[in-house]
Amino acid sequence: MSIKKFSIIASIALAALLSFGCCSEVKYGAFEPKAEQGDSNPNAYAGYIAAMRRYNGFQMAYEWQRANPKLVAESVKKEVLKEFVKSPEAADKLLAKIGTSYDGDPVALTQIAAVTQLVMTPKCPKAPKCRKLWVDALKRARAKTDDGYVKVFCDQQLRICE
Amino acid sequence: MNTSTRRNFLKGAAAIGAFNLVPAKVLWGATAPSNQLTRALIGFGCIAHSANHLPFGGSRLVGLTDCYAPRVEAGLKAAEGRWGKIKGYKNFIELLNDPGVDIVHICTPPHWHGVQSVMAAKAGKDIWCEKPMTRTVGEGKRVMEVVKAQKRMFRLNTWFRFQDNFYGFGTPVEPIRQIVENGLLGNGPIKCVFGEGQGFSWKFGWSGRVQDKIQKIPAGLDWDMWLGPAPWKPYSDHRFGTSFRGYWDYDSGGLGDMAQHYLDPLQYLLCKDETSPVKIDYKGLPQHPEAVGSFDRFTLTYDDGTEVILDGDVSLRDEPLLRGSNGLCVYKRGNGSKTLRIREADGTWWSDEKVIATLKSLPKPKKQQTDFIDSCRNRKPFALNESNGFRSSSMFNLAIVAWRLGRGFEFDPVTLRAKNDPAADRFLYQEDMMREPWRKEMFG
Repeated sequence: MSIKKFSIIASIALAALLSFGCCSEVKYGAFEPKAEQGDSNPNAYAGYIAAMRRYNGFQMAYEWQRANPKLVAESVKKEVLKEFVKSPEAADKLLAKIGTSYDGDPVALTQIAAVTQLVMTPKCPKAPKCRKLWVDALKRARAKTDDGYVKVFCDQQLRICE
Repeated sequence: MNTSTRRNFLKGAAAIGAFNLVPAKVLWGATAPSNQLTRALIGFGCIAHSANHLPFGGSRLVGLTDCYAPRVEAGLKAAEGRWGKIKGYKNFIELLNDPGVDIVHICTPPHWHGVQSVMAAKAGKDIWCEKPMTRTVGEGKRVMEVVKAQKRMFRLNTWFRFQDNFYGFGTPVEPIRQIVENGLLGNGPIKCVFGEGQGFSWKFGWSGRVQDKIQKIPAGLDWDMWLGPAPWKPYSDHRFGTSFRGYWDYDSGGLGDMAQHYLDPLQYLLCKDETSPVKIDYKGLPQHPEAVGSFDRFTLTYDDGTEVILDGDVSLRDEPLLRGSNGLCVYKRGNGSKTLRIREADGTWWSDEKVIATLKSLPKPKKQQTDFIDSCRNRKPFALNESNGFRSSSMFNLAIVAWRLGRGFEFDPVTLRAKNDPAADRFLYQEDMMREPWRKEMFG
């Protein structure tokens, strides 16, 4: 095989390897631009490492957002979130989706964080009532689990809204 | 031995004796090993290998520590060639208690920076801290207070306000500051757009996993110590190593990781070292509560109307870096130019010669203190210290709060609190979520 042919094949292989890891990143410039002469760029490698790491089969948050923008945006609309603080049962049902130790449904977790913000909304007349319902639900979720992660997750929400 | 030989021998011996009586400082100056200031590294992950930590020649490396034993071994081995045998401390507390250490280099993840800076200051050490300065505004305020009270010297490990080209800009920051400081952009507010169009990318690849698996803690890793003040959560290899950046508990993705490199020089060239934005707006998708995602845009507005826009979705790619109130615009070097580019409000571009001549005619900014070892010896605050470093870290820490809230808020740069917004304050100040004993060590 000639050197020229080898170089072409190697370039294609490298490009394929990199693009396999980064096609959804190109738009957002996750890889650092090529440093100009005189620039010192201490993190030039960082995007590559991040791209390579995600192939253990788990989706990264920004990929998940960009793959599901409509789902993510609509999941936190006020009229959707309000349903979760209409009754303790509705709140409990959402909080049950925290799962155990990192396996929670990402839409549900995003909604939980958004409900915590909703009940803290400044100037919202119904916020105090919803806030009490939500705080009580978080405390119930915390109390009924042995999972250390779930407890901490609930604590992190409670410190914002309690 | 005959008289002449003995006399010569005694003369020689006397000369050697006299030589040894001359202080090393006179012979070798400050670089005599016994006169060099000493440093030790807290944390020996990726960043500790970089130029300003392991190999830095301005002070003598005497030791290091890490809560992952293989890194300590690797560090001691890596140090040997240049520094000989150095000490591997059991933990950073033993390191701080060593009177033989003058300066500590904090190379741990951001959730540790505040605690370790405060503890180091109280232990009488000068501090060279990795960026970001701290993870929250509350921690930054505390570091600033304690460093000042203990009269320590503090610097951050970023330098673009005083050296090197400003990332994709192709020029250092000084000429841009000259333009701003000398009023070439008018007397009103300046609009600044910061994003890929200017060569700054926000590295959304530094993201966390929306779901994950718990894994076995590797042998030799003290996971509890690694977590430190952060909430206890089970071990996953994606929360450890360089990808810790993707989790709110420890950092804030590419914004937390890179923003101090980008925004500190911006704060400097905008002459905003003593204040903070009063309004923060956010545009983008809601965030997962564990894993850092992406943003479309942050707008940080100062009291005088100056706006800094962080352009995440690259929709403002063609905007200049700076647009003055008089319409004059500053762009990065490009299109074959020899320097930064300036365009009039009517669209006319300045020639390179005009830019260069104008910059030559303008007074230069005040000289900066850029030698940290000199700072430590002579107690002169460094160019990027705990005060202006707090302000530049607050720029992005405020943006991060808006990011997590999913909305904008207002901030008081004097009280350092959100205005009428308890939910925002709960993110600005997270002392209550810190684990003990680290919360007590930091806040008392």
